[in-house]
Amino acid sequence: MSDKHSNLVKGEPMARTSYGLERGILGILPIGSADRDALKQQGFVAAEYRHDRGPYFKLRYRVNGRQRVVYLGTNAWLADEIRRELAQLQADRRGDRELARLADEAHDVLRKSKQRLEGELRRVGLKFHGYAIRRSRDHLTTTAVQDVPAGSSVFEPNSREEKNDDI
Amino acid sequence: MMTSEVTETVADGTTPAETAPANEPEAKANAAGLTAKRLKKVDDLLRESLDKVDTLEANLGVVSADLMRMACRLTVAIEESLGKKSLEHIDKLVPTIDAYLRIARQIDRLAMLDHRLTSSRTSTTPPKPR
Repeated sequence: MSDKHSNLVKGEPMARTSYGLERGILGILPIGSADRDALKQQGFVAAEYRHDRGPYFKLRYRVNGRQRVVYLGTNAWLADEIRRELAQLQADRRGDRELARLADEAHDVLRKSKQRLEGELRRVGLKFHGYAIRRSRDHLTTTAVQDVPAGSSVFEPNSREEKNDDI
Repeated sequence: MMTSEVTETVADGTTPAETAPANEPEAKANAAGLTAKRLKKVDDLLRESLDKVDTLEANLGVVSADLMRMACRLTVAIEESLGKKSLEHIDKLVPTIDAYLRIARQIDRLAMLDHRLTSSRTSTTPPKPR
């Protein structure tokens, strides 16, 4: 175990100290709390070669737009551990991005659904008011929805609510 | 005495820590099964709608099916995130929940309109007495 970790920080094997357990393997790297916060947003472990030798691993990230590099050495195990920990650290943010993208897509589907129905609704004397469907005032005779008064929502029980909660 | 101590330790060690992850795949499989069933129903609705003669009714069905599929994806994402998210990130869920509610409301509106259209078409109103 100590062999694996001996080149992590010179002369200091990566024992499972309370410090290491609390902050994970990133906690033993020479980086400050601001850098650790930056790593939640972005940052990655790069494998680089010098004249066919390597890989040499580096942790690359940006703080306030400036790139920072922490040299990790040649220990592939350590690089993998840091990659794994970074992925965990950034999982929330990645999840947030995914959720935001899904919400945008949902709004898009909603918008397109409205566009798709507008023509057909007009044909039977109905129209969208926001996303609520109402009878068109200028279309007084309709064969489809005859019992809805002009200008009101097609959903009689909630007509007042529908007027107020248009999207 | 020694044996009981050992068994106790094993029991204590396994029950809370190991049963929860063991149940997790089962719960995931259940959720996936329900989602698959839900999507199948949506497909059924889409197929039925495409066979309708009235173009408005057909379009209502198709659009509702699209919205339902989206609602299904949102539900899965929200449920997954609720389990994983730390408290500081939970507010990021709000726009997704809001989008889900808007979609659900629109599905409801379209269903009401479809119902109204169907009933107005099928109902035979007796002529008013003179």
